[in-house]
Amino acid sequence: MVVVKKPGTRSLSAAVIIACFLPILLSAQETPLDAPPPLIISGVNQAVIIDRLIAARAYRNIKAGRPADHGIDFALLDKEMERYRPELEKFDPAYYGVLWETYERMKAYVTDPNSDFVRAVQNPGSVEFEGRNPLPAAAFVDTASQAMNATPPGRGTHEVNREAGRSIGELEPLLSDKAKKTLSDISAMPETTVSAREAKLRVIEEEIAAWEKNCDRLEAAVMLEILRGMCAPVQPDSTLPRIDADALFQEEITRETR
Amino acid sequence: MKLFLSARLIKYTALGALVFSLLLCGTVWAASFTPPGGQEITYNPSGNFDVPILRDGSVTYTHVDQSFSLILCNGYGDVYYLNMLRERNNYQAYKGYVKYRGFSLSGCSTTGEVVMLRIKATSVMPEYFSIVSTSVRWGSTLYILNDVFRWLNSTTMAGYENWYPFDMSCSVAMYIAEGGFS
Repeated sequence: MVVVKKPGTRSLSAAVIIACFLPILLSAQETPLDAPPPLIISGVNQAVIIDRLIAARAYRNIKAGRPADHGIDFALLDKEMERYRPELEKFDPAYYGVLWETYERMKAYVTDPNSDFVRAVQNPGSVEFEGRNPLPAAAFVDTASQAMNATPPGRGTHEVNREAGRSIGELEPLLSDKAKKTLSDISAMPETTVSAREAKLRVIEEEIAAWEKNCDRLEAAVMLEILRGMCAPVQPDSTLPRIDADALFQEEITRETR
Repeated sequence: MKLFLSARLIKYTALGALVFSLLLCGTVWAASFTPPGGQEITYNPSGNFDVPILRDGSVTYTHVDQSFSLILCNGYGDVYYLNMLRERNNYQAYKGYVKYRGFSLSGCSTTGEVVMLRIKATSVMPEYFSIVSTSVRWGSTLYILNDVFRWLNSTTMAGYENWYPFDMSCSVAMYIAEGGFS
């Protein structure tokens, strides 16, 4: 058998081989690219937001299915923080202590796989943080989180209050079967009727009264308050008092000049 | 043929107008600031949000859509919109509004009112700032955040944050996103 090698054959077969192996080569290169380099502090401007940088890295790690502290060497970061300590203490002797506390809090969040931070990333909206939310900016890009936190412009007070409060649906798992059944019957009634709202409120009030021995009374009181807000008759937006922002400033300036 | 051409013309004109209006919306709304070494923060320079205000025992809402002489933001992504109301030799007083991104206790409004004091530098003390901002919870309770900070270097201010009724404190970094101090 005679194999005739044409001049273009060799380059063609090389191209075919490259085409076949290119995806494999690329995917092999993805792994080191995917894993970001270790977190380091590159200056005092980053040292003062170290907790934010850790939060952003941990968020990306959790979303990518890696442990939250992947690529975060806390021994290294401790040393880095120590490096900026003289500069920060010179700026303000008390400041470094508060910064260190903030850093330690974030470190605890990230190194514990069951921490509130980790759970909040894995299941958005499942954890309520008392005050500062440690989640990074990326978490708020998520539309669900935005919808949860946003105060939509141009909405009436009652509407916004109702959205800010918990919904009856959210409270339902906490109620007894009897209360659930009653609420289900009431929900069949038209939402707008005063009697339906009052009936809903009565059921919830009775339920909360029955919780006295096994429920935090303060929490119950707060829930009752929310429900009262929810069950209040809806006022049209036009009847709600509004303060114009410019008028507010003008009022202040007038007071100043008196 | 003429009819076909005019229909096509109308179609392309409408499409062009749509693209142009989308471009306009995008450019007018968007402003962003990236703190040194941090994450980008996007905001609307004129606000365009509602702020709950507790007054005489009830909540009213004011819509914020105006110009501001100073826009600050912090490392958590909260944006403070301020105008100067008073200037004295040793201090300045500012007032405005805030849109929170990193303060999200359930039922707490994500917008609030702000007052800021800028205490000017003296021979014995450097310049520093104090911000008090509000958030209304469940439409009935006023939460107050207090930030005290001063210039760490030419780009970054650093300080402390405390809030009422809880007392969790943390460090905070503040930046000028737009405008400036006079």
